[in-house]
Amino acid sequence: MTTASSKPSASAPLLSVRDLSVQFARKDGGLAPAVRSLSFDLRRGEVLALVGESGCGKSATALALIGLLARNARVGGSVEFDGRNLLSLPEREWETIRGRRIAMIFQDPMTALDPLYRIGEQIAEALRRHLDLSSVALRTRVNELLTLVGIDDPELRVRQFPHQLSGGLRQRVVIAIALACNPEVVIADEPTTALDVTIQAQIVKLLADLNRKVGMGMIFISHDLGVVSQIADKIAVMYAGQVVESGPRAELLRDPRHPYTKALLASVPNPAMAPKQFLNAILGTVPDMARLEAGCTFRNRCPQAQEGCHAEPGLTGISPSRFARCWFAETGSYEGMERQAIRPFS
Amino acid sequence: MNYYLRRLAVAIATVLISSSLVFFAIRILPGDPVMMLLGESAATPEVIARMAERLGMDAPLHVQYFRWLTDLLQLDFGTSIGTGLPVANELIKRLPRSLELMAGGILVSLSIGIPLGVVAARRPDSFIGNAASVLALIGLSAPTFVKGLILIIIFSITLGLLPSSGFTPFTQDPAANLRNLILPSLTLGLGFAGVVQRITRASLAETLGKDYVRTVRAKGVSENASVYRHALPNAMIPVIAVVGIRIGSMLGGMVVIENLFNWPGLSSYLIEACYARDYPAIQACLVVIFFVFSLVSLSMDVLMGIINPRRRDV
Repeated sequence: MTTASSKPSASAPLLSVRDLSVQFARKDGGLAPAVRSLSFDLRRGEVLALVGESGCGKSATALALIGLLARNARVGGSVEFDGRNLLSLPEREWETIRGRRIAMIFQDPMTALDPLYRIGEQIAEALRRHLDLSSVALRTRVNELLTLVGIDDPELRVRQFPHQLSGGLRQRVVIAIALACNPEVVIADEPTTALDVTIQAQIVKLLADLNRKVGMGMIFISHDLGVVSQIADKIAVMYAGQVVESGPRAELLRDPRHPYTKALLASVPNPAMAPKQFLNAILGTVPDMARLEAGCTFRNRCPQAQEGCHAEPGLTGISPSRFARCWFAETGSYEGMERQAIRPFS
Repeated sequence: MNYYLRRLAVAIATVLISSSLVFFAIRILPGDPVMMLLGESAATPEVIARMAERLGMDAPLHVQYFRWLTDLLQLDFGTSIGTGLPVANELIKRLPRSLELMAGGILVSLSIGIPLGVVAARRPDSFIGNAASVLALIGLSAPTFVKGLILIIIFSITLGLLPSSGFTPFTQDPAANLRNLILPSLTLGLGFAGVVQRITRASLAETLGKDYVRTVRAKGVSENASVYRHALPNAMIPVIAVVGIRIGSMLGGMVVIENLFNWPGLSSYLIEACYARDYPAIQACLVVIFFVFSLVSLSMDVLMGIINPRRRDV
């Protein structure tokens, strides 16, 4: 597995997200928030994982970063990329960035490919859209990409249709499509969730290898801390549309500060468990985003919630690169808490 | 290929079985061609018996059936009871006219229904999207003869642009033939355009939300290109299925239009034959209709296989 230390770390961030918010307009005229003041930086070659339960705003974040949110979405904040704010980009310019400089890997390979087109054609479409290649160069590049994502016999595969491929192979094709034009940023939205466990491990390893080989920045979205721990350099844990804890992978996993992160970690199976010992489930459910109450959003499920949690906690700095949105993040007790200015981690 | 051979065998069997059912069904119905031919009054038992013998209707039913079946397999459709002429002559004359009208109607319904369906699916809550759906609904729900009359009033009586009715053979005067074709095609096609619009709209609206369309968009492909290259071809699969079924059943259901526009096609021949209890003519018409129906659904299957690669591996 890759480690953070082996990565080149350029100084300026590749992608800089500040106070990103996404709301969906409802039929009744109201707005349902999905993402609330999300900030992070992504550097070249770095893998940032967004972790959280379904409905916490991970996928809305992903779609906002590639400009493919549904029409009823309202987006706020800024996403700085190459000196431009992507959120204010007209559609025409988005089309020159999507697939070329920012690409996306989708969750379900069984539905992510058009059933009517051959594999080769679906990869070539991305290349043709952005690069001016001769038909020979195009074919060479398609074969090259299939080999890169670990597909044997590319000559055969390019002529096949999606239904002739297994889920694992299809996901490799989806990855090949994303990598076609050597994008600087790849957003992988739950890329292993729909796959068998054995295939999951292969795909995670493939993505980690590609990240090292190609050097693109990657946003890896998952609900599974176990998967994330194999690939991420930095982890941001999301809850109810906000980041509740973030930091370098090793530190965050070794010493989680937010009770939600602790609970997530406790729900990952590990070999040291006694037989018949059950995983810890997090009691309760994610709050209804349309009816969020003031205060800490996790307090109704939090084992250490106290009176003070009715006030909303900010991001507390634990170290220069670590933050947690909890009154007890730093000292473990309410009285001794010291608030710091809300800053994005970097 | 195996798949298509199987479908072909099924098609032939379908034609034979349904024609046989018709053979017996019309003989169960009240009314007797012998009596129709002779008239009620003049018929003495001997005259009736002689007439029945001449028409081959004195033999037991199963003998009649096998006689009919062997003739049919040799493509002999028999002689019309009414005119005494071979039924085949009439069929050869009338079938192309009906097929021409059908083609016109389908052309109209697809070229109106698909664009209106696309507009309604892509802009579901807009004025133009709703207008497209309302327009299609009107076309669908107005009775055929009303649509026909309105079109005649507008285009031939008021504007004087097109003939109100009549038929000119294509070989005689192609331009006149096509001018005559326009109004009946519109009348036939408008109703079906409503069906096509509704299926296109529903199917495309669903397809637009599919993951693979999002994948295409994520490649940087424009929204228009992703609709026309990916969403629409996928959305057309159910449209083709429904169109196939409707086209097949269209042939026998054009009576009103053929009468209204004085278009001497197969449907009107079938109705005349029914009134006259002209058994050979009824049977021949229905065999042809079943045959066209099977042929259309067979070619729809082939078309589906060309569009949809998943079908070829079945």
